[in-house]
Amino acid sequence: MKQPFPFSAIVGQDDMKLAMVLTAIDPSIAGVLVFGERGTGKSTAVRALAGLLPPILAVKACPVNSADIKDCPAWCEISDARVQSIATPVVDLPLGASEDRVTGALDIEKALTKGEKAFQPGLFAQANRGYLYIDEVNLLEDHIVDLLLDVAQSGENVVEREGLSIRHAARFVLVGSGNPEEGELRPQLMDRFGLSVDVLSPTNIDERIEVIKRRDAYENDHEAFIAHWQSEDATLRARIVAARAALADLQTADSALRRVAELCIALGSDGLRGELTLLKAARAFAAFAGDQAVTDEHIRKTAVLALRHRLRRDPLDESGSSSRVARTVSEILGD
Amino acid sequence: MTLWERAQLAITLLAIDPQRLGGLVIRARAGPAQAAMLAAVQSLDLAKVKLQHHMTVEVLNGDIDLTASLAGRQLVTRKSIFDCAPSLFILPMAERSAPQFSARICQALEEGRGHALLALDEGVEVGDGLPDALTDRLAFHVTLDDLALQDLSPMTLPRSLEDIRAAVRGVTLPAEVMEEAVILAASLGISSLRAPLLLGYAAQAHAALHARYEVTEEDLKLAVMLVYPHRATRLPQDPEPEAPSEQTNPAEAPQDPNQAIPPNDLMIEAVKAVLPPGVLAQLQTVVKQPASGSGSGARRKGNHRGRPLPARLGPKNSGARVDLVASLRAAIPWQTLRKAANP
Repeated sequence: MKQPFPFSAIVGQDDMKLAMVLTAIDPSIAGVLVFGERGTGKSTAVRALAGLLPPILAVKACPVNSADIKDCPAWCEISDARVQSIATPVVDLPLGASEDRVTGALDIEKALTKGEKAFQPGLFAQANRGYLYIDEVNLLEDHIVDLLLDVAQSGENVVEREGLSIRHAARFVLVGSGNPEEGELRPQLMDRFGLSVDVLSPTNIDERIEVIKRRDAYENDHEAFIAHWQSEDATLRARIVAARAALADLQTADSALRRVAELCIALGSDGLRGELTLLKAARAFAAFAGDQAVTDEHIRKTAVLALRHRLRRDPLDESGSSSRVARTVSEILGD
Repeated sequence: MTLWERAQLAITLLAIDPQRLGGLVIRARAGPAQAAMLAAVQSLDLAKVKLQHHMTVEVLNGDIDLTASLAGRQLVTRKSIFDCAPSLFILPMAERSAPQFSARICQALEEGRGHALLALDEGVEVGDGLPDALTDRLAFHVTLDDLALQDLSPMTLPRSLEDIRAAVRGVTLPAEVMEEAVILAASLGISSLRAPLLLGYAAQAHAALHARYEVTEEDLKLAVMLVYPHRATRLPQDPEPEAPSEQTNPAEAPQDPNQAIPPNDLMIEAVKAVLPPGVLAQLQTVVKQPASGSGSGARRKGNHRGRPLPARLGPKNSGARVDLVASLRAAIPWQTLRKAANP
């Protein structure tokens, strides 16, 4: 297979790139929802993300990529404590995947050939400590969405079926992409995504030409193109790693908390999840920018990402949710 | 260039570079025109695989082959239908594709295996057709409904496709040509960025067909006639003489692609020549239903149910039946286990 398109080579789409970088810095932000029209580079960005993320250390034989042998679930009976460096998992959840495949199920191979009752880990296990990517998330079948809702919330996958009783950690960043013309998303699922981005194709002619040129170079002059952009990706990766380290020492003043709360009240966003996510996103952004404390500026930059999908529909306000958030932000934080 | 010649050119270009061009939509009811096109496709030297709407997830994604596994006492997996050498997939009645089905095809086209798709769209009304996500990935679109029998002639494809295929990647695509493609797309209201890329590839294939080493204006014009008309959402207006209103600062106003750089009139004429009159106005009045509504005829629920679920109440004689095969498949792995437990 060809190497994916480099993340840094994506032209424009700054919101989408920022949202993905923020989840890489703080995975507890818990996800990005990318909605946009066709041909705007949604899937390209997610595939590129896989190449950007720093590697993780995981126990060699562990099906859920545990960092330490203590964290390995008991049912996989691992005795070898050696760890190895692996690429951060970015797992695809294909449309039409069966429940068995997603949660894991009876290992049919062992049942058929050896007559043993064993557990075959599913996609949730593979995605632990990494990313789970759902293309066309609004076309996902309802029973799979139900499974996803619970696991994304609790961080644990529980399988109680077919005489199996299994549980294992399943903490991942959920990335969904879709085309709004093809259907809406259930509000409960929408909620599980920390950040949401609306991507449009660039309106600037020069930018559009640049997109086409880079894509053409990627297709036809593959090695040189990859070599050129890999160094840019490496710089960005180093910034992400540095920001992760800086996150722990970052100051969050009470005034910043108050700002966040004011903003959420003014917008009437559903639940406290919005506040929490906005705070995490602002902190991650501050760390990424190399600042020591969270300021209004950081909140301003991340408010639209964290809140635009959490507004109640207002029949008297026709404007889009992004502009509603932006308006409230400038009212509360000043211009 | 007649409609039929255009259709022939589309097939030829697709045969030259199926990997990058993605495919072709043939919008026509079943009839001699469609049959003649299909006959031409059959003669292509590409592997051809027919897709059917009732193909299950197991067929599309690959699965364990239970029968073979049981017979051989070892695990045998069946490969996904897309897991094969580069092929041309033929999708009949494409306007009936369910969103999940077409989304899976889109993914298969983008996996980099070099597949292409020939979609036979038998839609009748303006609004029904195959899902936009799919149309967007396929370079060409031809409508054959207005052809008379006398317009048809047997299609002839170039003999030495191998040589042309080898040459196509070497054809230079000047930067100005790509810029022109992007500007033209913007002025026709085509927002997807796949369109200019596909246009570039089509122009390359056309240049290779005529044994040229660089894309010329002529190549671009013919490619425009095949790639852009069905994507256009508006025709560029002549620039309005009145000055912009005083309130907007021209530096801050979003750049309007029409006025920034005027597109080449020759290309606009090429698009106009292909578009039937009034089709754009018609498009604007038809609001495309969300994907669930694509296809003709009333929607029905499928009547195959299965898997270990409790019994459900339902009207008698509704025709719903238990999905026997799925139920048996789910049960088979347990036979060995239960036999072992109760010998």
